[in-house]
Formats: sequence, structure tokens, C-alpha cells
Amino acid sequence: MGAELLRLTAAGRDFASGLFWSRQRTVALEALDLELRPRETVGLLGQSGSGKTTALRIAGFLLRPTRGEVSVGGRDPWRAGGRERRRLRRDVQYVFQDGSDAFDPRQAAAGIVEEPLRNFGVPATDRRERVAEGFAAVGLTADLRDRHPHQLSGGQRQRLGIARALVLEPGTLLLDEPVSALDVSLAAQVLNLLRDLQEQRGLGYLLVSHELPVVQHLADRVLVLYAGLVVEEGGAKILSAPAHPYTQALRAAALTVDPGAGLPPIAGVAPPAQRGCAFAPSCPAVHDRCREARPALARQPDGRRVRCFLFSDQIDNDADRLSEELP
Amino acid sequence: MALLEVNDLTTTFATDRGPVRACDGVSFEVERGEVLGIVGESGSGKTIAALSVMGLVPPPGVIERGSIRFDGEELRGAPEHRYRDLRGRQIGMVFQDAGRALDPVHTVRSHLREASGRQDDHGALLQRVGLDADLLDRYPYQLSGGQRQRVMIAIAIARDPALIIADEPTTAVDALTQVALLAELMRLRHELGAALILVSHNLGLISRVADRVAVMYLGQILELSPTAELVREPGHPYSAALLRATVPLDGDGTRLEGVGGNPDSLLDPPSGCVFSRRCPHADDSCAMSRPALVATAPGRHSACHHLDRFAEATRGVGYGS
Repeated sequence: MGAELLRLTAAGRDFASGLFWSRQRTVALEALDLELRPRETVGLLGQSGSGKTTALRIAGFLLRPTRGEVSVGGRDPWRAGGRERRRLRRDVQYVFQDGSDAFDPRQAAAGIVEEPLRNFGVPATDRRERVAEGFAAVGLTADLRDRHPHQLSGGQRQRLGIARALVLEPGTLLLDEPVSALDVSLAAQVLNLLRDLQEQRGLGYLLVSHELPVVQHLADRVLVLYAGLVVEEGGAKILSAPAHPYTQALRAAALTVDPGAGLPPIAGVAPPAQRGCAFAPSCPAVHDRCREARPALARQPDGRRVRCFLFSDQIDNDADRLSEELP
Repeated sequence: MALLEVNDLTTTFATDRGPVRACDGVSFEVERGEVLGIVGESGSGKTIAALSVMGLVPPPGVIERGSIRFDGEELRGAPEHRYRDLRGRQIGMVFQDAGRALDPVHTVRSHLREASGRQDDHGALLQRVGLDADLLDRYPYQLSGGQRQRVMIAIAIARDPALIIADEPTTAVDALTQVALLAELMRLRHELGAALILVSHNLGLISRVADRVAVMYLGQILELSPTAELVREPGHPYSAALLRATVPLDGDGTRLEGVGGNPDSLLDPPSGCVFSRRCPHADDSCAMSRPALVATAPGRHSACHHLDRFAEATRGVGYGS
């Protein structure tokens, strides 16, 4: 294990909504702990509204956490001065879900990859070479240099997004649903590419996805998020035999090729509860206690941690700060 | 007689760089009450095939050739008012992006009034798709993605259609909502006894609900087979490649095989077999002539010059074998 690339410590974020006199606080992410090391992939799995995108934006310090801390290579970007923050920014780069939304449509492919280099003051003489290297690293041919985003296929745009993220030679890539906009054959290629780049460059990946097989395929460690809280966490193998009813639902909802299997009965589409366990309204195993109190993340014999009363016999030693502090 | 008989359907778009055949000689049938899946990647022509059947090919596209018979009636060249009537009464449609398909200045009630032709009972219609009647006076923007998609399904089934065409109906929603929506659609289809054409790029999803699957690539159907048989023993190299490219559940995390090569463009289609540039079994003859979609076993159809060679090489690689 190399040095730590990225760490979130009890990081959370609230958003205010409504008008001034009726302002409400919405908790997007309550508190998240994670750390990322070189050659490691941490997956954040959850639906929309789970807080996974908020977590990713905090990790990329695009969003300042309301509580807790973020650190990049041991430094807090929000306490760093301008120059140092720029240096840290270089080290953590984003790959967006669909390049077509993230790119300037008027810019050609080469310019899109060059832009971060220009922003960080890399001399023009070096830029050309770095752009060519970036294209080569992701398997884009040089004849695509002058194409505009809309002239590229979905797979090429996603490669372009990865090339742009890589030109500054960051230690960490933040992958926001990197293959969910792609067809199967292209998704397979991009997943293979990400795997190769990680091996060659020792990159750390923080991956966000709502597709369990994608997280299972890429990630070493997994945090399953529901309504702003981690409900289950552990090595990627926990997804083969999930403990939390929400993770179980996500696994059942992964529609693998299985003729005649039909559709799984799905719980998990009711809005989360404000009180007690957030998943209670959708949970097939719900009992009275779940509507009253919130379970803590409890460590299990196999090392995973689960936030569910069904698994709360083994109480975690580093007791969950949240369940004590919050109502 | 099948409910829908599509024969040699060829839909062409005039572009700056010459005509593009988005559908090129597509033939299939849909029996009453049957679920036909059409699977393919972007640019495969699956959506244009569905739009052609509904008489909704966007300009500058035109149906250049072929026939579309619905319940015995030839639809190609039918006047727009006939199509309007059919789309309202006998063919229900569900599109991918309900946010765009619904009219933003009309309430749910107004949509359902138009779709059903009835002045009341709209709440009951909404309840049939698992929504609360409270939502009747909402506008589309006031609904969640899943709710909008359910409203679309309500519109599609409002007049008990004999055929529902759903084009990527669950692609814009997350995994759990997708399964819930699909289950709703399948339940309603079953109640109505309607046939369903389900268009998707997701072979996993299709495999769960379709009786038969048509696999499309670059405007052509390369395989048309009963779902279980296609999955167990794919009848075309492209079907096999799609199966291999799917991210598995509980895989070992090693490299995915993928389809190999890069997607071809309709602007520059390969000569001969459209899959020949990417096919591991291709030889010179594949680039020479286009293989016809022919019966290879009862109920199975494949368009491949080298089915024997392919079958030998892939014996036992299908799912569940």
C-alpha cells in the first residue's frame, strides 16, 4: 500500500432549500469516511438521492463539506492557500458521465485535452506532446484531433474525457458513472481501459455508480449509500452476498442475462423515512424498532460493516458518532 | 396471421454525406400477446425500426421499401389520420424520455383525457399504473422521472391497445425504479393481452421478459431467435459478442472480452456482411456478399455465411451451458 491519496473524515453536506423565511435544511450526505490509496478503487454504490454524487464532489473539492474534512495527500484543500490548492487540484481529476455535456461543443478534441495544460501553465512546446500522449494512452487515434465532440461516438467522447483527466498526471481519478451512458460493447472497452491505466500509472479511483455489476467489477472496496448514509461497507466481495436489505435489492435489480428468470420482486422505491431507519418504508424485513430508532454501522464477523438492526448484535467498537449525535 | 408483419423494411435518411439506411431490409413478425425484444447498440436501427412501424419516422427519413402489416392492414403509405387513429387506439407507445414526450404546459389529467378520449375516470387510469390520483393536476415537471414514465405507460394503455411499443422505457431511471417500472409494464401488458415490442440496448433486461429477440447491427437484423435459445447457444457471432461484453454479476473482475474492433458507421457500412469488420470468424467471402437472414432451426434465424464454423468455435460458451 502506498501513501494515502485522498481521505474524507466524517464529511457531510447540507443544502438549503425554499425561500428565506421558510428555509429548510436538506441533508445530502450525513457523514462519510473513506480513504483511497494508489492502485485502489473505492466504489460508491447507490441510487439518485443517495448522496454518492455529493460525496464525489466533496472529494474533488468542488463542494465544501458542511462538516467533516477532506484531505488530498494529507493536505486540506479548503485550508490551503491559492497556490497550494491549485497544486492539489491537479492531483484529483474528474471523469464525467457523458463527455458531451462536459465539453465545450465549439472546441476540437485536441483543444479539450490541451485546456487543463494551458490552465496550469504548461509551456506550449510541451503541450503538443502531452496531448499526443494523452490521445495514445486512451486509444484515440491522432486523426480525431480536429473533431468536435458531436462528431465523436459515445465511446470516443468517454475516452476523450479520460484523456483530459489524465494529462495533468493526477494520482486520483473521480469516475462519475463512467460507463452508464455507453452501449455494452463500449462499456466493456472503457472498463478495460480504466483497469489498464490504473495498473500502468498506479492511479486511485473513486467510482460512483448505480449499477452493482460495474462497481463489483472495478472496485476493491465498496460503500453502499442510501439517503446520505453508508448502509453497508466492505471489500467488493460483499456485493456477492449482501447483508443490508437495500444492498440486496440493488443486487436483485441487476438484470443479468437470465432468460425465463423474469423480474425480481423489488422493494426499495418508496421515499426514504425522515425518522428511524431511512430504508424502513421500502424494507421487506422492517419491524417496529426500525421506525423508531436509527441503527448504527456495526462491524460483522467477516469485517464488513452494516447499518441494520438485523445485524446490530455485534456493536462496533468505534461506535457510530452519528447515531449518538443526531436525532 | 401475425398481429404485426414487417417485411423488408428499409428506412433511409438523406444526409450531407449521402443517403443513410438506418433500417436495411428488416423483417420480423409479432404474434398476438407476444413479447419481442429488439436489442442493439446506438446506430443499430432499433429505434428507427420502431418509429417506422408507428409511422413516426422523423424527417428527412423516408420508408424507401418494404411493408408493414398490422392486423392484416398495410400501413406503409397509410394517410396520417389513419396512423393517428391507430396510435391512439391499437398501438400504444412508451418512449425513453418522458420528460420530453409529455407536453410541459398540460397537466397529467389533460394528457390522459386526450389519450383515453374520456372525460372522467382518469384517476382510475393513473391507479392502474401504480400512481396516486392526487397527481392528476400536476404538470410533468412536478413529477419524478419514474412517475413521468408511469404516466407515459398510462397514456399507452389508455385504450387497451393490441400492441405496445416501448423504446428504452427504463433507461433514464435508476436500477430499482427500472425493475419496478418494467414489472408494471409487464403486468399491464399481461392484463390487456397485448403484444409488446421492447427496444433496448440492454440484453440482460430483454432476456428477462422477451419471448423472442431480434439482434440488430447497422440497420439489419443479424439474429432472430427464441430468447432462451439465443442466450444458451447464440446463433450469430455478434449475439455471442454482445453476451460476452455484458458486465457479469459475480465475475472475477478480469478483462471483459468486449465485441472487438470499433463500431461501424452507417455512413460507411462494410460491404457484404455488416459485422464482417469486427467478426473473429470473417473471411474474404464475408465482405463479398451480404448473408440473408435464414431459418437455421425451428424458430431460429441467422444472417451469417459461416454459421457452421462459428457454431463449432463457440459450442458451450453460451450462458447456462
